[in-house]
Amino acid sequence: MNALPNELPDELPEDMARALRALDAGATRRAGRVDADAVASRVLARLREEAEPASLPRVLPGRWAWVSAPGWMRVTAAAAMIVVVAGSVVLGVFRSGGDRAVAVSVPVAAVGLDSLDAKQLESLLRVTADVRPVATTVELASRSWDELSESQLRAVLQAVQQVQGETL
Amino acid sequence: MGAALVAVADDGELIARYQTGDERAAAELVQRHTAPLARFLAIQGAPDEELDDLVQDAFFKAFRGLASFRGGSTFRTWLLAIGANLLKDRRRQWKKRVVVELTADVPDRSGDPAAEAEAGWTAERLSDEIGKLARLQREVFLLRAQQGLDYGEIAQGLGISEGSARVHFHHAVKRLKERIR
Repeated sequence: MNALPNELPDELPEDMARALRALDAGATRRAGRVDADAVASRVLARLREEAEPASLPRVLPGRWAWVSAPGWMRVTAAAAMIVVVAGSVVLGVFRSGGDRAVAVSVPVAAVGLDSLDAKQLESLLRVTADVRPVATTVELASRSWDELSESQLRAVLQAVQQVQGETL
Repeated sequence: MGAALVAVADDGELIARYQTGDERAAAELVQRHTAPLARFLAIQGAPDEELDDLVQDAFFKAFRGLASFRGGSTFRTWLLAIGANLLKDRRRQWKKRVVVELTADVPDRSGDPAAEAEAGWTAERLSDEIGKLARLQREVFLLRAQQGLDYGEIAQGLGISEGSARVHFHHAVKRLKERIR
């Protein structure tokens, strides 16, 4: 303890100092029930627990970070990549005057892969494979949503809406 | 030998060791400051069943925020300020709950029942009135009168000037004196 009751500052009136000593004795008794060892181990455990997940991405760069990512995260990332590629492909098809039926079936992925059944997924993969030659003109690897212009985004959106209209 | 060194190390050294990954240094800091922190929280009315958690949370927050501890105040003052902030936040959650009655350990006054009753009454009034003080007044008052810290330390720990700490203490004492009469 830092301040023993008798060391209370002398600027307190005597009756207040006495009352404070009495209160402090009660507080000291209650404080004595707190187990410092138990506090230390719980605090350290919490600090360790908090430090572990935060340090993981820094410890596991590049490919390892990808491999160690949870399955749902990898599926989501893959789905996002397909959407981007597919969107780019659609634009390529539109621009080159290609088969519209093929183009509009691709952005179904944007609706959400979870909502597709096995047959639809197969169809999506087949379509993606079919239009790949067209897409080579669209810089597949470097495309992301952020890079698409307003008109390109609008074209993808229209394609999605059209597919949704056809499937309803 | 390591244990002996830890025992005499000051808080600054222990903090530096903990920051390089020495958990024993952190454990030593907890050992050193648990009692004053718990006492500081208890006298402000922290319920018994919450005291342990509050102490733990204060240390956790302190260790997590060590990067922002510039050493202007002592580790203890800084920790007590963190504890006071936590207590303030928890009070909001406790508002609808029954608040623990602070019990004063009134010393035996030579078997004089009237004197004992008066001392008990004064302690209870003081407890109530401490709780009614403005936050800074209460913290400065307790850091000075209960924890025995000097005004410089209090000022650094609470982020106020030393003069301001003195003024808060003065007003707190004045107000308490008026109300426990």
